[in-house]
Amino acid sequence: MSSSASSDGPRVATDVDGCVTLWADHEDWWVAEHARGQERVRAAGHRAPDGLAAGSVGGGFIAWSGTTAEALTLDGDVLHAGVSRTVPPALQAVAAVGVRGRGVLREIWCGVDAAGGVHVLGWDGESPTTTEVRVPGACGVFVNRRLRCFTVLGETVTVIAPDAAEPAPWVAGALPGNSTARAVAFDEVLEVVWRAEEHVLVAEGLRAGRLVEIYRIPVAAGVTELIVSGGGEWLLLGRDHGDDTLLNVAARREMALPDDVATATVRAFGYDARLCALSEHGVVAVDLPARAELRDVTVGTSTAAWDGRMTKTSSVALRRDPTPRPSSRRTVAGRA
Amino acid sequence: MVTQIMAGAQAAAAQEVRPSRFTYAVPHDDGGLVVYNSMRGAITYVPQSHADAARELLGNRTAVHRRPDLPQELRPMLDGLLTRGFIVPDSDDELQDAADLREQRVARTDRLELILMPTESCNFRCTYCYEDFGLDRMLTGVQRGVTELVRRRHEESGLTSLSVSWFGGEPLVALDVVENLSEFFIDYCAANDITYTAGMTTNGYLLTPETARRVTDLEVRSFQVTLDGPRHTHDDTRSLMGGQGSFDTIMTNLRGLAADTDLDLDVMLRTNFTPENVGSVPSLVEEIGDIAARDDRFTVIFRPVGRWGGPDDDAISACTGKDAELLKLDLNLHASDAGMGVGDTKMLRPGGTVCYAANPWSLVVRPNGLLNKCTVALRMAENMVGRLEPDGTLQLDDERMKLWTANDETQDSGCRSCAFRPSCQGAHCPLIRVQDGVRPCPSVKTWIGPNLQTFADLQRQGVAVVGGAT
Repeated sequence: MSSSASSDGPRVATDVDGCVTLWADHEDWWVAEHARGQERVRAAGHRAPDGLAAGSVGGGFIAWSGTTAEALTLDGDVLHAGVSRTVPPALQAVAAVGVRGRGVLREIWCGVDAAGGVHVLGWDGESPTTTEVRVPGACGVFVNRRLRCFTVLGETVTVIAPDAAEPAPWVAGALPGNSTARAVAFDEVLEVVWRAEEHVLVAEGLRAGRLVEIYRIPVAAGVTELIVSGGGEWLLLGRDHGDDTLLNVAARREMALPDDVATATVRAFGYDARLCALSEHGVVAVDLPARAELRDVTVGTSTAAWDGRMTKTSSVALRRDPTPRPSSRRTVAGRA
Repeated sequence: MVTQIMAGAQAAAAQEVRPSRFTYAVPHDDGGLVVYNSMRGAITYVPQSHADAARELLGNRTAVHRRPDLPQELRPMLDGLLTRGFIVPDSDDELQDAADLREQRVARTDRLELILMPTESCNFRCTYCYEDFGLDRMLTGVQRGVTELVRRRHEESGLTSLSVSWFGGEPLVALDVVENLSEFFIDYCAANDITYTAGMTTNGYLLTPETARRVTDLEVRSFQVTLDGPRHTHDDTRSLMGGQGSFDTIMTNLRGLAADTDLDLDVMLRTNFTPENVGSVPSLVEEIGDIAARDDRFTVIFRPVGRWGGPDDDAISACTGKDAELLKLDLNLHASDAGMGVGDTKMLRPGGTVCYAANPWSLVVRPNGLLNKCTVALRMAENMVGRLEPDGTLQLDDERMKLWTANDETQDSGCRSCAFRPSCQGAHCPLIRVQDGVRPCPSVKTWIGPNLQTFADLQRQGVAVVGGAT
């Protein structure tokens, strides 16, 4: 759904439905389905892409390696390869949006390369088209599905139309440089750009064509990664040396992660307010607290608040693939 | 069968007639009489000078009149009351008429009403809201299921009418889902001669004139937007997720909508009132009046905040009972005085207070494909009546469906003998019957006297009170 800045491209992506996560681990791909009651993990082949991103429909992904990118769609047990096209080298992040034109729904991609080049990858009929837009310092691209546009974060917040012939970029406002902003992300529910500074999270909303600061929330220092949940209510605050936390936006409350999730290397916000820890062994899904339980907690520290709520109403479910390994590491048809 | 209107008084000359069992005659404070019939949806103010004549004819519900036997001075009144259905031929079987009215409603297979939740995510966190915002955008497979449901229903039952209400969460957060599905509905209905209407309940924050143009182009034309008083009270209860106020943005949007007279839409502005904010609601009405007075695209309604199941219920001070009803009516009059249209005018017509959840052809489709009947108690087990499959089939629990669609006047002898029966058909709020096992009388019926007086006053101000029978 969103990708965060990374020096060598994201190698994990969750689909727009929040039900499937695809990730690359050394030379293997893994598919985790984590919709409630359908949790399972499967191997999906032995090719390691440079990067992965969500496509514009449920079960859809984009994978790229070198100068080739292809669409992938999970259909039952099969990961189908779809359209493939040449892309600029060294893409760091990609976002996709579906646009209806001439009676068909086409998926338009927007990629950010390592040199701050932003590439709108569209179609003219059946022919691929590419237009480059310069956004200094571009490090992340996010889709705003409501407005069917891309939000590129760099030295500026730049909005780009999904039209390779006429991307019509416009700058909503400036962002502080890397020395101040340690991580950035876009939330399409509140339509705000979140950025992590040393001891604070700042939210700036895109309002009437400009950035307006609306929240400044103190958090523990060291945030280097921000991931926004699909509903915008939760932020996962990643730190280089661990101590990752969750922030509930509505309550402006930071809290510790449950151990199972805190130690996981692959994590995803899932559908129906779930936080999932994914590994080749299975899915650990934690139901994030609804606001009711969150607000009812009256204990003093954020960690205790999370613990208190967890034992009260929520549940941690560990569901492993019922098929014992190694047969659980099935190769997904079409991607062997 | 609805009672037929007499072609003229002469037709009744030789008939025995009596007051309709669905006629109310309530005194007005000014000495006049307000007469209303729930089967016709007719309401009339009788001035003091003629009130005694009307009382004479309507006062005794069991009295049978013959025109030739009446004093000369009562005959014009009889003719008038007969013409409007307040008095009916003694031979009319009104109970059967009422039963038929309900049966015609529930038996429809040519109509489909979908309350679609394109997302349960919301950019607001209203203090009294009962939702938990867990489900994000409507899943891809569920969107496909919605289109296939419409297609199947038409192929199996021959749809003549499709009504879509966008709800949430905040539906405009998932505008792309609204657009994708609306494009299908428009194309499919046009190709198959199906009447299509659509509306949206939105908090108004994202309803800029540009967005309004996008959705009205997609035939979404009726909007309900909530304002809880002027800025200082509204922002207390209806803040953005995270706490920022929303009033100024919504008002800017409303000004933009009002200024764009080419926009073909209806906006119903809802104000939820509590003991805390009710004193400042009139100032909001005046503020709205400055924007949209005498613009018939805009109307207002007022509702007391209830304890609707949200996390802050214990902290909510709710207006209840007669106090709430009188406050609501007073606010209606205030709005009318300010030149605003009043939106509460259709509940007096037959079926006007029947809840959508009581209709077998009405379903709430949640973003994960779960089917509910009621948009309030979303996680109540009895309210989860089934699931929509990606191929458009409905996996419905028939017993749970009946809790909502057959739990009405047919099961309640009190409702069957009630004078308000044609309006609510015992189905004003199936949730109350399911949850509490009690008769869910609408407040307009419980406090019928003040309501009829207010509606009569509004009618005399030129407000169309009933709005036509369904």
